Amino acid sequence: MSTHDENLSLKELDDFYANIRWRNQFSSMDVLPKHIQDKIDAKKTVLQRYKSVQNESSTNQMESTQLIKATPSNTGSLVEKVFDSSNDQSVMTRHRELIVQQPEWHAPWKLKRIINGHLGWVRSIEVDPVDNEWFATGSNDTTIKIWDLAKGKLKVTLAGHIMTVRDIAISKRHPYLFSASEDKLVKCWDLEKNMAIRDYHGHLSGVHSVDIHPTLDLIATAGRDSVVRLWDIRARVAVMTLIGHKNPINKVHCLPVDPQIVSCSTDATIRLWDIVAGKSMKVITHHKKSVRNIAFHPTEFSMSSCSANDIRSWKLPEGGLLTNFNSDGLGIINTLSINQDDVLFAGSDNGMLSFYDYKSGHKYQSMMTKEIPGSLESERGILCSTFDRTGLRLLTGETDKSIKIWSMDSDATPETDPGLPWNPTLAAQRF
Amino acid sequence: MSFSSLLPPPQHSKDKDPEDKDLEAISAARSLIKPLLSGLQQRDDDPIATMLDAMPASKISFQDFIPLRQRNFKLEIPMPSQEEINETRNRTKEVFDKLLQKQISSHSSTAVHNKPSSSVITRDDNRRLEIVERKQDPLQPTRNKFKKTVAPVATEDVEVPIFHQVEEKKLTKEERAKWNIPSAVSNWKNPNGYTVSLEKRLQMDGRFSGSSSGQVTNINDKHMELSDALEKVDKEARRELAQRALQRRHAAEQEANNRQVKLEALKDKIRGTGNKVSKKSTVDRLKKLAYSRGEDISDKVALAAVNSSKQPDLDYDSRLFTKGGRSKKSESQVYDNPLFVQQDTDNIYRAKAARPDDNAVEATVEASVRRGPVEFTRATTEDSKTGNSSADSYGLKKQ
Repeated sequence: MSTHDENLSLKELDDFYANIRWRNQFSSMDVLPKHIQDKIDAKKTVLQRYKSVQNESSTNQMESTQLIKATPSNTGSLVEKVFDSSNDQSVMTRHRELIVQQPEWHAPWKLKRIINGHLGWVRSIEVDPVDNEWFATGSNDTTIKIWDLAKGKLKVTLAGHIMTVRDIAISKRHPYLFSASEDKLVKCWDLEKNMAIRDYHGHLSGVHSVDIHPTLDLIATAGRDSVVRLWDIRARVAVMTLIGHKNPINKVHCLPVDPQIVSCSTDATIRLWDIVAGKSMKVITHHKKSVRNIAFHPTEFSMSSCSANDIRSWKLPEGGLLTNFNSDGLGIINTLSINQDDVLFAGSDNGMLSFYDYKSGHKYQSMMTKEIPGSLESERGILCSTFDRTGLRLLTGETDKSIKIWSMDSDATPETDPGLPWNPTLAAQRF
Repeated sequence: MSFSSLLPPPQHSKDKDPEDKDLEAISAARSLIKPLLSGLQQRDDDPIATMLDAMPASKISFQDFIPLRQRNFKLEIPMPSQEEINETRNRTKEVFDKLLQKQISSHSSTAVHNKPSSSVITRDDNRRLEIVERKQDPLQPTRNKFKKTVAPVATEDVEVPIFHQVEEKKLTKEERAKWNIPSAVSNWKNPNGYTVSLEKRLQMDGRFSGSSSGQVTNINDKHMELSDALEKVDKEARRELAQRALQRRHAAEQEANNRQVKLEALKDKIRGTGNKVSKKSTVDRLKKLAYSRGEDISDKVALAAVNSSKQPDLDYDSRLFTKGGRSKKSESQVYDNPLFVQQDTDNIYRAKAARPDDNAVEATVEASVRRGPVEFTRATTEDSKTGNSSADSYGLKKQ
C-alpha cells in the first residue's frame, strides 16, 4: 500500500461523510410536507389532477396496466384521487367513528357507610389482598388503623410514626405491612405481632409512597427527595437508587415485568424504570401539571394517571397513550382507582367523585361527597381511595377525617339509570 | 470537498512516521465504508442506508398521535404471561443479589474498622496509656445533619421530548403585587417603637388594601352634587321650621301673658273682696298700734309680725314664692331673676322671737320643726355606755 492509496481512502471517507451529512440535512426537502402538498392539490382543477395521476401511472408500467384493467378498488382510488381531495382520516370521519362506538353501562354508586375514628386526614387506604376481610388506613394523626371491612369496626391501631402516614402497602407473600411517612422513615409492621419490626432509614426527606415488588423481596419507596429507592426487605439496605425526577415523587408502583417500577412526580412526568439497567426506559411527558396518582388495571396490562383536569390511560409496557378521559372541571384529582369491571374512580380535592368507563373514557356518574355534620366546607376532599378485591365496594379516605364506603346500586338497570349522556368530543383524541 | 482537512490532526499523529501507520486498519476501514458507499447509490434495498435515512420526522404519521383506544374501544391488552414474569424475576434477582452482596460487604468492612471500646497500650518506659471511648448520652439526638435535597442532579443522555407547550409565564409586576402578603404589624403593640408608615397601615387594613385589588370604591362626581343639593334643601327646611317654631312660641307667650294678666286681675279682685281685706286690716291694725306707740314700721315688718303669730308650716304669703325663682320665660325678658330675691327668702328662716307665755309649746315645736341649718352634736358618754350594754346583750363578755 502506498500513501497515494491511503489518500484516496481518506478522500472516499470525506465524500461519504459529506454525502451522509447532506442527506440527513436535506433529504426531507425532496418531498413537500403533506399538508402543503394537500393544499396545492386542492387548488388544482380536476383535469390537472387527472394529468398528475396519469403521469404517476405512466412512470410505472405495471401500475398503468393495472389501471387499464380497472379493478374496482383501483377505480375507487383513482376517482378519489381525482375528484375527492379529502383524505380518509379527516376530522369528521374520526368523529363519526367515535360516535358509533358505545361505552359500556355501569350501575351508579351510592354511599353505604361512614366510619369515623381518625383524628386527622385519612391519607392512605389499602385492602387486605389475601382474604378481603380487613383494610388499613394511614392518617395525618400519625397512626395506622386496621378495620374490619364487613362490620366497619376498629381492630388495631398501630402507632410509631411521628408524622403523617402517607402510604401503606400490604404484602401478599409476607405477613407484613409497610408504611411510608413524612418523618423520612419507612416502617415494616409485623401483622402477627402488631408491632414495627424494621425501619428503612435513608430518605433525605419525607417519604410519599411505598410499594412491594410482586415477585422479589424488594420494596420501592419514593418521596420528596425525588428519588426512588429500592430496599431489600430483610437487609434494610437501599440496594438501588433511581435518580431522574426533577421534583418530589407522588406515587411509585411495582410490576412483575418490565417496567418493574413506575413512578409519577410533581414535575408532571411519569417514568417507567428499567431496574436492571438502573435508569428510566420511558418518560411520559403528556401531563401539564403535577401527576398526583397512578392506578393499574387489575386484569389488563395498562395504567391510568391523573393531573389537574386531566386523566389519561397508558398501554404497558411501552407506555403508549390509550385514552383521554373526559375530565374537564374535575379540578385537582388526588386519587384514582380501577376495578376489574372497567370502572375508573377519580376523587377530587374539592370532594367530587367521578366514575368513568375505563375503555371509552366516558364519565357516567359524578357526585359530591356526603358531608359529615359539623365539618367545614373546606373539608370536602378525597385523599385516597381503593376498591376492595371484589371490585364491588369503594373505600375513600377524606379530609373530614372519615372513611366512606360506597357500593354499586344492585337494582339499577340501564333503563332506570342511564347515567350521564355520551357526548364524545374530539378533545378526547388530543395527544 | 473534504471536511477532515479542516479538522485538527489527531493528537499524537506527528510522532509516528506515516510508513509505520497501521495500514491494515485503513484497509479495514475501507472495507467497512465500501458497502455504505454502494448503499448511497442503491439505497432502496440496503438496510444501512435506510437506517441512516431514518429521519424521525419522516416516519411519524398523524395516526400516531391519536390515542390507541379511540379507534377501537375493545382493544385487548393482555397481562404478562407467567413465563415472562418468571424470566424477568430471575434476571432481576441475579442483578439485585449481586448489588446486595456488594452493599453488605461494604457495610461489614466498615464494621471492621470499629475499634474496641477501650484499649491499653504499655510503652517501653513503663508508661501506661489507656484509650477510653468518650461516654455519650444515649438519648442525645444525632449530630449529623441531613441536607434536604429536593432533586438530585440526574445526568441524562437524551433530553425527553415534550409535545405540548410548557407555559412558563413570568409574573408581571402587578401579579406579583397581588401575591404580596404584607408583613404582620400589630395595630396595638409596637414595643420597639418603629414608625409604620400610613400607606403600610392602610395596606394592612383589608378595607383599603391597595387600589389594585379594586376594593376602594370610586365615587361619581354627581354623587357629590346630589349630596350638596340635599344638604342645601335640608338647611332651608330646617331654617323654615325654626322660624315657624319661633313664631308659634311668640304667639304662645303672648297668650300666656294675657292669661297671666287676666289671672292677676282675677286674683286682685278676689283679694280685694275677702282675704286681702282681712289681712290688710291686721297689718293696718299693727301699723296703727305701732304708730300709737310712737314707732313707724314698714309694711314688711308688719306683715312678718302677722305671719309670725301663725304656725310656720301653715301657708306663706304666695307672693314670696311667685317673686323668687322665676326662670326666663321669653326672649324679651332681660333678666331671669328679679334683683332682690334674697330679701324675700330671708323671711323663710327667721330667728324666732322668744315669747315667755308659750315655752312648753316651743319645746314641742322645736323638736318637730327645724328653723335653721342642721346642727350636729357630739355623742355623749352615756351613748357609748348604752352601746356597750347592747353588745352585752349579744352575749359578748367585756374583759
